[in-house]
Amino acid sequence: MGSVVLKNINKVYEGGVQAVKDFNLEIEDREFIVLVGPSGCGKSTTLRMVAGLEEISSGELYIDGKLCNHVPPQDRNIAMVFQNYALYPHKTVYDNMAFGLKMRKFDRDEIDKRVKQAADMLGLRHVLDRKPAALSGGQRQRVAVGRAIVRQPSVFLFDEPLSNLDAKLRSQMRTELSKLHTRLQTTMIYVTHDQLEAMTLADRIVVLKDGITQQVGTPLEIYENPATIFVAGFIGSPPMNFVRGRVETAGEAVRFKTSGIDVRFTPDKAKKLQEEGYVGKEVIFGIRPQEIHDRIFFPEASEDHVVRGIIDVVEPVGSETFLQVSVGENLIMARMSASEKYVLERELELVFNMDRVHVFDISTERAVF
Amino acid sequence: MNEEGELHKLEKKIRSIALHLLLLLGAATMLVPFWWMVSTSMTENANSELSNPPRWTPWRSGNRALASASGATVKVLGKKGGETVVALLNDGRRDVAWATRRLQPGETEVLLLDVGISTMFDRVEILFPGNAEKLPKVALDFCVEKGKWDTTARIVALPRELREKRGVFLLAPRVRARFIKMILENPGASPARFFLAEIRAHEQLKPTLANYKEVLKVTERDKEIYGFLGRFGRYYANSVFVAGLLTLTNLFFCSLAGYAFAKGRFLGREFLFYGVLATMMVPGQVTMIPVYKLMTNWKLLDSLWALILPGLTGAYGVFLCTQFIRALPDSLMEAARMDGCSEWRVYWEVIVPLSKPVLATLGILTFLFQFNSFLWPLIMINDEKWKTLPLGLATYRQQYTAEWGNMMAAAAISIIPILIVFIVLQKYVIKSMAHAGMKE
Repeated sequence: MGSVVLKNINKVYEGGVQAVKDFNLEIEDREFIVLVGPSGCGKSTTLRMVAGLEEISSGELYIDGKLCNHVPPQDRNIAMVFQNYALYPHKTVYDNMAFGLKMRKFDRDEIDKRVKQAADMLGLRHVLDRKPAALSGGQRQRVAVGRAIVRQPSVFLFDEPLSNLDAKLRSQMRTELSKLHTRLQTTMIYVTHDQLEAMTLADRIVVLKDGITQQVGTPLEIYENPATIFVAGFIGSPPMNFVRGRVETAGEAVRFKTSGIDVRFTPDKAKKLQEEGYVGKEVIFGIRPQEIHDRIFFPEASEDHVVRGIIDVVEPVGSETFLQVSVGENLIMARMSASEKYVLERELELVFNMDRVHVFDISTERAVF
Repeated sequence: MNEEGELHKLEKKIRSIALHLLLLLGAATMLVPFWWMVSTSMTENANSELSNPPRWTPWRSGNRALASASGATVKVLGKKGGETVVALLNDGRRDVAWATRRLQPGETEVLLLDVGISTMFDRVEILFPGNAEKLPKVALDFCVEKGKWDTTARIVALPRELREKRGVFLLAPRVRARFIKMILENPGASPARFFLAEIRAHEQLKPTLANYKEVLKVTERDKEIYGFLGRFGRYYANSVFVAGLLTLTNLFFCSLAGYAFAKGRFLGREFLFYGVLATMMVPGQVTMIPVYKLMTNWKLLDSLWALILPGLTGAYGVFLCTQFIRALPDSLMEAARMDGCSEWRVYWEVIVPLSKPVLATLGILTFLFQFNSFLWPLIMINDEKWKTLPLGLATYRQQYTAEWGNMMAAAAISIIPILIVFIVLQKYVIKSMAHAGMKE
């Protein structure tokens, strides 16, 4: 019904710029896939190749099992929501939504039924005879979605649809899109640079960087086991702390050592490091701000997991407080409870949750764990 | 602080008033020729003369000297044939008025003076200078019958108490008889010199539509030459047809080419685009003769196709459309394509409606240019039947005479289509100005 398969897809622009390199993905019917990455990572290009707006340089694209490389966009049974909505300014909301059906020669009653149904679903009933210029940002967004819905395509494509909205509206629309997916049960491919959108919406996330797929997985998989430094840094807010240092053994213990930090790995992680031969080597050590705690709340914590530093910056955001702590020569971001008052320049004892740390190879940038 | 604010407000006000005055002045300057055209078109008998300084209103009231004082004479010519030629007024260079009257034996009280110079005066006075006691003042009362050449007037002698007044006076037969006798009694004096001060004409004109009627008149002969529309109607129809058709083709071809140049991806796009632009640098005079030859070869001389074919599209219009369409977001076209539009549908359903402002501008420009075009039709068209309005207007002016009234009436009518085009399309032009720089 709505499966999409991308096999070894490459996109090389005139002039030799390769936007997408060897992209492979099998999207199942009814799946919500989010392509995420910084700007210029090739995520939009990939989406546009699926849409047929961009030629595929090499590789194969199957939609519903049919090879679609050279099928024009109007024959692919897909609908797309554009970043700037791309509503026809000269048509009313109704005509905007009906246009795709009209072009496909649906009969008038069917068009009317579908448009009204979509309008009800999106709360657009009262603005049907307005022009896009007379709508608010959120309403325009909904019209753009409505225009896609009425076509009842097998695949929906979203190209950064929420990036033009203000923060509050964005989170509201995010929820609505999530609900919409549950309701429509249609394959959706969604492109964004906002990791929060990716995390909240996706069944599976594809993280891209410089046209190369970094990792494919469910939001939790990606959050908990990022495959590369890039993924680890990109997913999660505030981003993961990275510290360069050395893996050393002290008796039975395997420790991570660098300026101001000397912590002991848990046995299973230590075993893995030993097995893969990282002992004595330089690595990049990663830990998320929320896995760092104040020792006040963990008085019984082992000295092996404690790091001492001086508070550099205090950023209270209400629900929690972010601290930048200088530990030796490194700066560590930590998330603390908002109930505690933190003072600049004060010394602080931090406890690392060593169950949740990551180690990355320094040359391949890939995760050891 | 407050005072300063007041001062600032005042300055602002003065600036605004000054600006408005300047704008009004500009507008007035622009309107002067227009007003002259309308005024002249409604002036009676404006055909044969173009006054200097120009007259600014079709209505007039006041005195104007026809013959100067010095050397003006009245000749009494005596009997000639069956008629009695009584008087001839001469301003020194030519005869300006004369009067004939067949006198019945003993009839002396009425003298008819025929002033042939013009039918445009409803009253002429002849004033005698010098000893007013001895030489009575004479007033001429024209019995104007419009359209007839034999406008006549009566000479009447004024009694002293009425001398300074103007108007038509019926005098006692005795007084009149005395004056007429005075003239008739000196037939031998050739030319009997009457010390005429001046002949003054009193004009009283009202605006008239006679010129328009004259222009729009369709005679039987016209029908034979020009068809049922008559001469002016034919010119008009030719012009509207040519300009209208060319406007449509220009809008169509220019927007189509503009779409291709702005959004199409094809080999040599830039090269072709600059090629089109380059043709704008070639002056029309250079291509005039080759195109003329071409039209002669195709045997299209003296036909409207000679005006239409060379102007079907234009580089400037293509340029204008390209620049405008380039600014339209690509995603609109992509959305349309995903909505199932063919390339043609994208053009028709998205590009054309969104290009309305630029198409309106181009439409006005093209229509104006083609409707006013003179040189090219002058070269291509000799046949009366296929002349366009600008050529037709020129025929009102010949080597020695110019029918200004008719010409201006025709010009005034010929403005109508331009006004209509402008009024219909201006809202798009203004809209486009208002929308410029706004993100959509």
